[in-house]
Amino acid sequence: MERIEIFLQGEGVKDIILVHVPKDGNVRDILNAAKEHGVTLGGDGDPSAIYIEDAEEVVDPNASLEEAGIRHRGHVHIHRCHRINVSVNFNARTETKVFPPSATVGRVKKWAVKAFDMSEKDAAEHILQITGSGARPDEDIHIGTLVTHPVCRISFDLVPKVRVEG
Amino acid sequence: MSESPKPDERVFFDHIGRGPFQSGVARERWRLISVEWPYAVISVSAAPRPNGPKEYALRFNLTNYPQLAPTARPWDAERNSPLEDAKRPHGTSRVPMAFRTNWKNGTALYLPCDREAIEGHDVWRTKHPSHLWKPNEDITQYLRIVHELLNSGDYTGPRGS
Repeated sequence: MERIEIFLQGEGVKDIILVHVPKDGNVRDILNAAKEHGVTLGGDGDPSAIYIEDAEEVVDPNASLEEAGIRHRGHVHIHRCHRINVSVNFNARTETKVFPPSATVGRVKKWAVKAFDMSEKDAAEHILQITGSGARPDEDIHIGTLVTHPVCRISFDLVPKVRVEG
Repeated sequence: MSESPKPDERVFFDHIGRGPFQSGVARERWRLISVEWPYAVISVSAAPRPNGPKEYALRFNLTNYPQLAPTARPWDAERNSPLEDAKRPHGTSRVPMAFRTNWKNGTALYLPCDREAIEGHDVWRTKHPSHLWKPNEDITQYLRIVHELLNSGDYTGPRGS
C-alpha cells in the first residue's frame, strides 16, 4: 500500500508531527494517526476539526485525501477551537482578528504589520512574542498549537528583534 | 565490521527524520548535505540578494548532541572547507554580528544557541532566552535562528559583494 507523509500540528502537541497515511485513504486516517501521536481530540460535544494550513474551511473527515486536497508532504491542523481570537499589541495599540487554528504565526504577523501600518523594513525587524512570556514561536507554527480549548484566544506583542552582542 | 552509531549520532538521525526537520526540508528552509560524525553539513536557504547564493552551508560539530549545544561555522560544501570570509553572509547589524569574522577566527556563529559562543556570555541567558539551546529540543532550534537571519531585512548578501 502506497503511503504519503503529512505534517500535522494540533492541540496539545508542541512539535510538528510527521505521520504516514495510505495515499488512497481518507481524512479520518489522519485523525487516527493524530490520536496515536497525542493530539487532543474532542468528543461529541466539542469535536476536533481538521484544517489545511491557512485554509478557513473545515475539511470533511469522510472525504478522501484527494477530494480534500491533502497532498504528500502537505500541512494540516487538528483542533477543537474552530476559530481563534488573536490580539496583537504594539506601541500602546491593540488590533484583533479572528483566524482559523491552522493559521501560521507568519500569516498573523503579516496581518499585524499591515494593521499597524508598519513599513516593510520595520516589519522585517519585528517578531511576534506571546504576551507575558519570552516565547517567540516560529513563523511556520500554527496558532492552534498555542491555545487549548475552551480558551480559543491568544495575545501577542510585536517586539523588535534584538542584535546579539556583548 | 562497521562500528555501531554512538547515542548522540542515533539521536541526531532520529531527529532529522521527524516532523520539525522534515517540515523545514519540505518548505525548502534547510536540507542535509552530509554527515561524517560528529560533523554534519546542513544548508539553510537565504533570501534573494544581488550576487547572493540560494543557501549557505553550515558545518555543525554535534558532539554529545543534544545534551551539549552544537557549534557551527559557515562551510563551502563543494570544496569541503571553511567558507572564505568574502562569501560569508553580511548585513547591516544582526547578520554581520552573528557571522562575524573577527571572533574566534570565525569558527563559530556568534549566537546564544552555539556552544562556543555561549561560553563567557552568561548575560545572554537572561537577555536572549528564546535563542538559548534547549537539550530537550532538536537541531531545528539552531536552524530556525539562522534561517530567520538569512531571510531578514538585515541580510544584504555575501560580505564581498
